[in-house]
Amino acid sequence: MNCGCGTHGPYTRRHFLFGGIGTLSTALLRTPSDAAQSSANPIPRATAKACIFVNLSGGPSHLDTFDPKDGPWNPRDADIRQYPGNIILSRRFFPMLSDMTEHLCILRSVTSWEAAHSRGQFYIQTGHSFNPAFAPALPHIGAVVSYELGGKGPLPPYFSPNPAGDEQRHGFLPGRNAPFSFSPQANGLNNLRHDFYGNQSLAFFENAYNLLQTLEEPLRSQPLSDDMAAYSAMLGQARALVYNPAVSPLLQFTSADEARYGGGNFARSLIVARNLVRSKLGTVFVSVTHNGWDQHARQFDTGNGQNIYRLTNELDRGLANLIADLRATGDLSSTLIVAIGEFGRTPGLLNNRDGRDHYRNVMSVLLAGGGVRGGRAIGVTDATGSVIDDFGWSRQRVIYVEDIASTIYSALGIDWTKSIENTPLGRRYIYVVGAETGAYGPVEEVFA
Amino acid sequence: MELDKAFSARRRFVSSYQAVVPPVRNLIDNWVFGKLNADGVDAAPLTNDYEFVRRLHLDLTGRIPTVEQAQAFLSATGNDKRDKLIESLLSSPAYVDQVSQWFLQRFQVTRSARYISIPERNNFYYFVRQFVQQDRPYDAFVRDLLTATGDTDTSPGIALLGRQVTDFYENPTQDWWDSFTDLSTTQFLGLKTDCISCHNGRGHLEKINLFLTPKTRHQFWELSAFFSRTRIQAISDDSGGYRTRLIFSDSQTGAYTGNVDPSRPGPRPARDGANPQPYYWFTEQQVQSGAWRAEWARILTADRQFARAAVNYLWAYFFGSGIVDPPDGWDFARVDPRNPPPPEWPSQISHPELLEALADEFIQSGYSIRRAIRLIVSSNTYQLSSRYPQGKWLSAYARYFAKRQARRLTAQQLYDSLTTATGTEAPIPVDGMADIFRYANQLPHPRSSLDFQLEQLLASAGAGDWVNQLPNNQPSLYGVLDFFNSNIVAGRTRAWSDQFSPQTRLATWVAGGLSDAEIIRNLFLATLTRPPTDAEVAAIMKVSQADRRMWLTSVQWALLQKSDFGFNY
Repeated sequence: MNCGCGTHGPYTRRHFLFGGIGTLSTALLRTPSDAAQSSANPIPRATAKACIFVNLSGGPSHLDTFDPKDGPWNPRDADIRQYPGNIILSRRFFPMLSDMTEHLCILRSVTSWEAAHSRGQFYIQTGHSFNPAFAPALPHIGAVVSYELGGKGPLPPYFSPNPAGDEQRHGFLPGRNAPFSFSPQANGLNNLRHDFYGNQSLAFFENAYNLLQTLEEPLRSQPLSDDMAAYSAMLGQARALVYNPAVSPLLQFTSADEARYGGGNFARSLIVARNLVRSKLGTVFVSVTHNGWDQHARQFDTGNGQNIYRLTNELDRGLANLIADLRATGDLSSTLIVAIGEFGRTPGLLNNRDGRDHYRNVMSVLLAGGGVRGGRAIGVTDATGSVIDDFGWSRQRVIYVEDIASTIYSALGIDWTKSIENTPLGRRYIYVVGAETGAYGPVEEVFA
Repeated sequence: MELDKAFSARRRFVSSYQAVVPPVRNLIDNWVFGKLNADGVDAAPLTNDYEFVRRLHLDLTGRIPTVEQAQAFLSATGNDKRDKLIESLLSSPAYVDQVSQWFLQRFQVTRSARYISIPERNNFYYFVRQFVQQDRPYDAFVRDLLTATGDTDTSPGIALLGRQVTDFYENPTQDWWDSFTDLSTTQFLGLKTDCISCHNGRGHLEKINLFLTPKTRHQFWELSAFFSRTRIQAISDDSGGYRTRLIFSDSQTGAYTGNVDPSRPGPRPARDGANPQPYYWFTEQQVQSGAWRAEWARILTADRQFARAAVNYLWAYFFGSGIVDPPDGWDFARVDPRNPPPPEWPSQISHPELLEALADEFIQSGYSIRRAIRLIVSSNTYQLSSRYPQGKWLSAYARYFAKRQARRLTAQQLYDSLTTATGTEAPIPVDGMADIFRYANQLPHPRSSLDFQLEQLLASAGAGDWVNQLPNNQPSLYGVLDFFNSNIVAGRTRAWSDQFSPQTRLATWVAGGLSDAEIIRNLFLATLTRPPTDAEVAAIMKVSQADRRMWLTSVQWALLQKSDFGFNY
């Protein structure tokens, strides 16, 4: 059940660090003048120019994905094998990725703050704790990346081809950082041209558009609401895409490509992500959602519409082809790929419905490309995947979503300790709460 | 919501300032302007007539006024011309279209949901429309929805419960009862109870809902038990089980237990030991008869929260946010000013006395939706401008309702205003319905028409499918591209008609020999419900071309893309 409510057990490290929700919200409400300046001034890695963020919605089981163990819960055909760098994968679930582990960096010592979908999703999308008072204003990490790195080409900086229903958007950031969402189709977008007037079409469109910009000017300079400001800005963004011969092919793909990526919305979105990133026409962040990981029941039953076999195989084909394709054009080293869900799932034996329930304490995250050194797993969990035995990185604690967010920002050359002082809400927005004091930071070990 | 602290902070610092507010017209203004005065926040000025006639048409009929409608209002005299317009729109057929559409979008009875057939959807559609048209008492309407029995294809109003039955053959009957309960509390009390349908509030909801935190799953079952005498059968008209109909009935015996067919455990965790008696603990009511579902409907609609939630939903429709916000996510521990929440929790309510006054009026009017709407749109609060020339607009003022919040048209409003502006209303055929509709807000569902281009436009404008995608009227780049370049828009902008273009108003004016100035003025009135400024006329004349028809087509296209066409302001 995606019931949208939170689970948190006994006191967590965060409560000791930040005093829990009360002081956290007070900190966010402080006026800019009395907010502490972040003084870290770290040097970001800047190894990546773009990020493809694969959102494994529903919370994948770490045991059935990137942290498998021998155990009676595995189906007979799981075929779990060990690879160099201590990577362990099921060859049945991930046949293609098993052959390219030299590109994969797997984080196995990650802990989620949340065990409820909506709150957990909010966390991985924004790097921030969900607070009902502030949630609508907080941007997706992709929108922050867009805000930092956008505007370098005609393409929207931030794409989310197949967004989850509750996907966070640009929050308080200007509307140009809103995700561009559409349902990818083989023949691309049919609304990138205005071919109604034969050979006069382009001239007609340009004249009409220029008149629109002239007439829109008073409201563009003095919009009546934030939404109107966003809309006015989108007119120009849309213009940059129309009749742009460099843009339309990026949103198209062949049926052979789609089949190779495994078919379906996830595959199509990954292909479009690949094209956008390769084009280097301004897209810096693509969020791609892979739905269905909330496997509470009958998770190995292939008669069940979505099950672990199907989910892992879809993910395997999509990711492996994405990595291979980007590598073939030399773009893998500048594209950070992150595959992350909102939490792990109950370890050890399956539950009495042959599935796994939500589990906060352990989850796994997969990284590749963008300066990440592959062929390695970081962190070790116990024999049932219940507890993290070895953190595997310099901070000698579990890896939190804040650390992942910092890692993404660092790889993209963004100072993760930054904050925006004068938001329209009159309070400070901190990119990663706690990073400005050094409590969180990039997992430096993932980089070469 | 994040503005609450700023909301109270302002009160402390500026209490000596004499706020500028319009005169009070009714009880709404008493409370809204009273608060503005108390806290020293200026109200926006009142709308001018152009803005008012456009706004009222959009809100009450779902589309902008025609040139004729606008001119009739603008040329009318008398202090009561706005009230007359309100009365005339409240009794128009288009009001039924729009208010029904608002309910339909909330209830989301759609073909895309499992077990909702076309006859069932259409049947529900006409049930909702009849309620709006006759202005039947809302409490009786809700009792009908919650107690309907019989076959989903033919029995009026039953599809609201039928819509919740998503996986008849895999889930236990307890699951439907639980879903009916969450539906009832969310839609009719503004309180989502789904969380405690799986687990106690404690350990889960501390950071989400103060009121629900101490509530238990057992307490949820006490509510759900009201549905435990409701039986659902599925029958199919074909051997493949393709089109399943549900039959609802009630028994005088039976109770909620945790016993579940082990082959269909359903999505919710096991209900070990569940044995609740029906108990409506919100107002401490117990059943007085064996007809438990009818008891639920009776007790729920008599709860004052039922009236509060209803007027708050309505308020949010007209003002963009609720007096309690979000209107479907009440936290009862954060709406009572006499019992304020702990300091780190923002209050959800901005005008508690106003909400009570609106609830009183609603109850006294016999739960009349039309009267509640009349009260709202007659207020000067509703008639405030969306401009704020008083100075810097702070987002904290939004919760004061100190100006109109300009928002993007909904998908249906966008299409209906497009056809109204251009005079290109066309029949929209719908599966299984003899009626021929002409407006998107007359459709039972955004994907119910047989017109592919219309469906595409509604989708790109955020209509959603009411199952996986909820309606969303935030502007999107994809939506802008579609409105730029879709045939359904381009075909309606032309200054001529041919086999690809319907007869537009513009084509009629061109064929009728109107001058450039007359046509430009008409285009503005028809599209933006206002005359052009001199600067606008000059800008348009400056780009006039030898091909007059192409030039005027580009003018019509540009006006339709402008934000004062695409926004309700």
